[in-house]
Amino acid sequence: MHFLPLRTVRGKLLLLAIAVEALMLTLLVANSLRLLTDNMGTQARIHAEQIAPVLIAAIVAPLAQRDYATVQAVLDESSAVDGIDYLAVTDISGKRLASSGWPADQELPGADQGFRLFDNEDASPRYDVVIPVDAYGQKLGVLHFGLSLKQIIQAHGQLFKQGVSIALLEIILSAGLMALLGYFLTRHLSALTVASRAVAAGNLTPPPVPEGDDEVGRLGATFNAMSRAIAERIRELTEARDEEKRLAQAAEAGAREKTAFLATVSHEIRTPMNGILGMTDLALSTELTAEQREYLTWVKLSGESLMRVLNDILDFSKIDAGQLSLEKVPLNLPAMLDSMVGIYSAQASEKGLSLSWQAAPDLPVQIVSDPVRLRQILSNLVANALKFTEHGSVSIRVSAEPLATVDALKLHFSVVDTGIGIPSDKLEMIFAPFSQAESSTTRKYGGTGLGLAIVSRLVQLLGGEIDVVSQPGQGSTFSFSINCRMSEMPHARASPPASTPMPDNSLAGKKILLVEDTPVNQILGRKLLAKFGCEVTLAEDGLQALAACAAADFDLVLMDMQMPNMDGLEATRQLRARERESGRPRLPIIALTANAMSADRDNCLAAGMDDFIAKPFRADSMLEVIRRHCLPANPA
Amino acid sequence: MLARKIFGLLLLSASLFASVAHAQGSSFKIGIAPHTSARVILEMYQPLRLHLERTLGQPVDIQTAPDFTEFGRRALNQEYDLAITTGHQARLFQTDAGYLPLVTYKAEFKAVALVTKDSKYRKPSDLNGATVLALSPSSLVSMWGVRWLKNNNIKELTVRYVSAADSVSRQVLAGDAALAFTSLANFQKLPAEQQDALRIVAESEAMAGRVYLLNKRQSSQQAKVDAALWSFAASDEGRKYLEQNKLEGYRKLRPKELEAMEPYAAETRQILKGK
Repeated sequence: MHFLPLRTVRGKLLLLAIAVEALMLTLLVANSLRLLTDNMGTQARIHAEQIAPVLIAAIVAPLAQRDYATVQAVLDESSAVDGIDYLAVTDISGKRLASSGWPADQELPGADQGFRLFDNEDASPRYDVVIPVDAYGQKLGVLHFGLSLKQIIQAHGQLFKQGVSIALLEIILSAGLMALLGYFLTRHLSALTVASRAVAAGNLTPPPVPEGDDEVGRLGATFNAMSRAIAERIRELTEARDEEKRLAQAAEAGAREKTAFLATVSHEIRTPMNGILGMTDLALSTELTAEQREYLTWVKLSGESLMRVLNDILDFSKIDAGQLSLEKVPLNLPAMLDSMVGIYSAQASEKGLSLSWQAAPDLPVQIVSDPVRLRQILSNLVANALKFTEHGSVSIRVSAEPLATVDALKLHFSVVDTGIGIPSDKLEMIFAPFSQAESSTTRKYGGTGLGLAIVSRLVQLLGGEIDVVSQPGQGSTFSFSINCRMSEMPHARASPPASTPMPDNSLAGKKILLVEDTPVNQILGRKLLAKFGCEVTLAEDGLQALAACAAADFDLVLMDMQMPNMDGLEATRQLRARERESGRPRLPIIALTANAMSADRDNCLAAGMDDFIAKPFRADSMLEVIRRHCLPANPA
Repeated sequence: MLARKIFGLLLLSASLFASVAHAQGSSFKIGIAPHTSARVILEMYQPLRLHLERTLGQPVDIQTAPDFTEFGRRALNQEYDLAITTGHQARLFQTDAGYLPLVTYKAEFKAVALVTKDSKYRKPSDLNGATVLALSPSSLVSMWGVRWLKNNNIKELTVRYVSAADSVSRQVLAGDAALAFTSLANFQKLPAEQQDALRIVAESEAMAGRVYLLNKRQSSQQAKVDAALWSFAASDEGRKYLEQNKLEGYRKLRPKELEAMEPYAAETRQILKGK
C-alpha cells in the first residue's frame, strides 16, 4: 500500500497544495458571486428607484382624470421594457385600476422588504416594488411593479458554472504541474527508498543512489557512505564471527583432545594402580612380618592418596569441560549423613575430635538429588574440616527451606569446625582451583588445592552457592545450599538399612570368565575371584572371550574395555547378538575398565553390558557387583 | 419564508381593513372641469382639498376628466360630491342631475381668441383655411369660439381640440395653429413672455365662470359645505389661492345667472347625447 498518496511526501505536498488551492478558489468564486449578487441587487434597486418616478409622472395626470385607459396604455408600453415583469396601479383602497403582465384574477404581490436573490420560490425570481402615487399631497393610487431577476440569476449561474469550471481546470493543471515538479524533486528520494528497501531485504551493497549538491543529493551521498560503512562493518563482523567460530571449533577440538588425553591418562594410570593397590591388598592378606606389613600399608595409603589426586583432577576436568552430568534419584538424607559421619569417625577419633550432624526437625528424609555428588561435596568439606582442626569438633548442620514450586525445596548445609580458620584476605581465593590459604598449608597438610574448587562447581551445578565464614584461630563454617525435590517417601526418619552380611562362600562354584589383557590385572582378578570361591576362566581379548563363551557356559563375564584384536564393547555386542540368535539366556557382563569417564559407562551399557566396575576397584566393591548379578535377588 | 408569509398575511389584512374603512367613510369627491392640465388642476385645488378635509372631517379627493364631455358625463352620473365647472355645464348639472349651485368666483369669466403677436391675422376672415385650437367641444370656451367663428362666417377651417388647456397657447406659438380659444383666466396665468408673444383678437362678454355645485345626495351637508367654502375663502390659504388665480373671491350666484347659460347647456346636452 506504499502507493497511497498520504504515504509519500510528494503525495502529501500535492494534496496539501490542492486543498489550499481549492479553498482559495472556492473563496474567490464565492466572493465573486457575493459581489455580483450585491452589485446586481444594488443595480436592481437603483433601477427601481429610477423607474418609479418616471412611471408615476406618466400616470399622475390620467389618474387625476380617472383616465384609466391612458394609465393602462402607459403600463402596457412600460412593461414592454426588458427587465420589468409586470406593472399595476391600484387606487388607495387596493382596487386594481390597470395592470400589465399580471393576471387579473391573481392578487398582486406585496413589496419585497429587501433584495434577496434566492428567496423566491417560484420559477420567475422577481423584485416586487409597491410605491404610492402622490401628487401635491393627494394620494391618487398605488403603483406596483416587479423587476425580473432572471438576468441576475442567469448571470449568477453562469458565473458560478464558469468559476467552478475554471477552478477545476486550474486545480487539474496545478495538480499535474505540482505532480511533475514533485516527481523531479523527489525522484532521488524514490531511488533512496528503493535502495533502503534493498538494504532492508538483505542487499547490503545496493547500487549507489544519485548524489548532488542539494539536500536530497547530500542525503543520497550520506546514504551511499552509510551503505558502504554498513557493508564494511558487516564484513568485519562476518570475519569476526567466522574467526570466533573457528576459535570455538578449535577450542572444542582442544577440549575433545584434552578429554581424550585425560581419558588416556586416566586409563593408563588406573590400570597399573589397579595392579598396585590390588596386589598390595593381596599381599597384606598374607602372612607378613610387622615391618613388611607397615611398608605395604604405606604403599597402599600412598596409592590411595594418588588415586584421590587423580580423581580430583579428573572431576575438575570433567566439570571444566562441561561433561559432568548429574543424576536425579531418590536419596535418604539421614542415612547419607550417618554414613558420612561413620566414614570419618575413625579419622576424627584419631585426632580427638567430635564429629556429628544435626538437622532441623522438619528435615525431609527422602529427597531427589544426585547422591554421589552431594556425598562428594560433604566428604570434601568434612575431610577438609578434620584436616585443619586440631581441637574441638566438626559438625554438619542441615535445614530445609520450601520453595514456591510444589515439592521443591532448598537444602542448607553447614560444615562447622573449630580449626585453624582462614585469614579474611584469603577467603576469596580458597574456591579458586589450585589454591590454598597459605603456601605453608600445602607443605603442612598436603592436597592439590582442587577440592574446594570442585565443591564450589558441584554446588553451582546443583543449583546452589557456597560461602565461608571464618576467624583465624576460631574455626570456619562452610555453608552451601542445593535445590532439590522432595521424594514421595514419608518424612519419618529412616534408619539406615541393615546390611546383610553375605557369606564369603556365596560365590563358590560360580563360573566367571575374566577378559583382561594386562598380566598384572589378570593375576589380580584370578586371585580375588579365587578367594571368593569362583572358577575363573581367562581370555586375553574379545576374540578369546567369544571363543570361550562358545565353548563353555559361564555365570558372569568380567570384560575389560581396551584390548587388542577385539575390544570389550565389540565382544559384548557380538555375545548379545549370539544370545538373540540362539535364544540362550542373557549372560551378565560386567565392564571392568580403567576408562572412568561417564561416557565410557554409557558406551558400556549401550553395547549390552549390565554393570560397570571402575579400576582400580576395591575387592569388596567388585564382590558386591558380582553378587548382585550372579545371585538371585534378595526379597526386599 | 414563514416570516414572509406572515408578513404577506398582515399586509393583506391591513389592505382589507383599509378597504373596509374607506367604504364606511368614503372620500368626498370634488370633480374639477378639465379647464387646464390635470397636474395644474391637482396643484391648484390642493389648498381647497386640505381645507375641506379638515372642516368636513373626511377624506377629500380632487378629480378631473380627460375632457369636458367626459367630465359632463361623469357629473351627470353623480360621480362627484362637489362639481366645479363653467356656467353652461353648471346649468346642465343643475337641470339634468339635480346639483345644487353654491358659489362662483367674483372674477369675470371670459373666453378669448389668441394669435401670435406677429401673426398676419387682421380680421376673422383671415382664418379661412386655417387650423384653430379649442378645448373639448363641450367646454364653454370652445362653444363660444365655435359661435364666434360661425358669427364671423368662417366655415372653411379646421378645429382641433386639445385636452390640455395650457398647451393651447404653446401650440399656437409653435405655429401648429393660427388661432386658439382659451379662457382669459388661463391666458393671464401664462408666463409673461408667453403673454407677450400672444395677442387677443376676440373676447367674449362676461359669462358665468366656474360654479361650485353640490350633489343632491349631499344636500344634507349643504350648509356645512357652503360654510366650509366661505371659511376657505376667509382663510390664509384660501386668500392666497384666490389671489394667485386672480379669482378675487367667492360670491353667490346672481338670480337667473345660470338660466342665462341655458343655450350653451342645451348645446352641451346635445353633445353628450351624441356621444
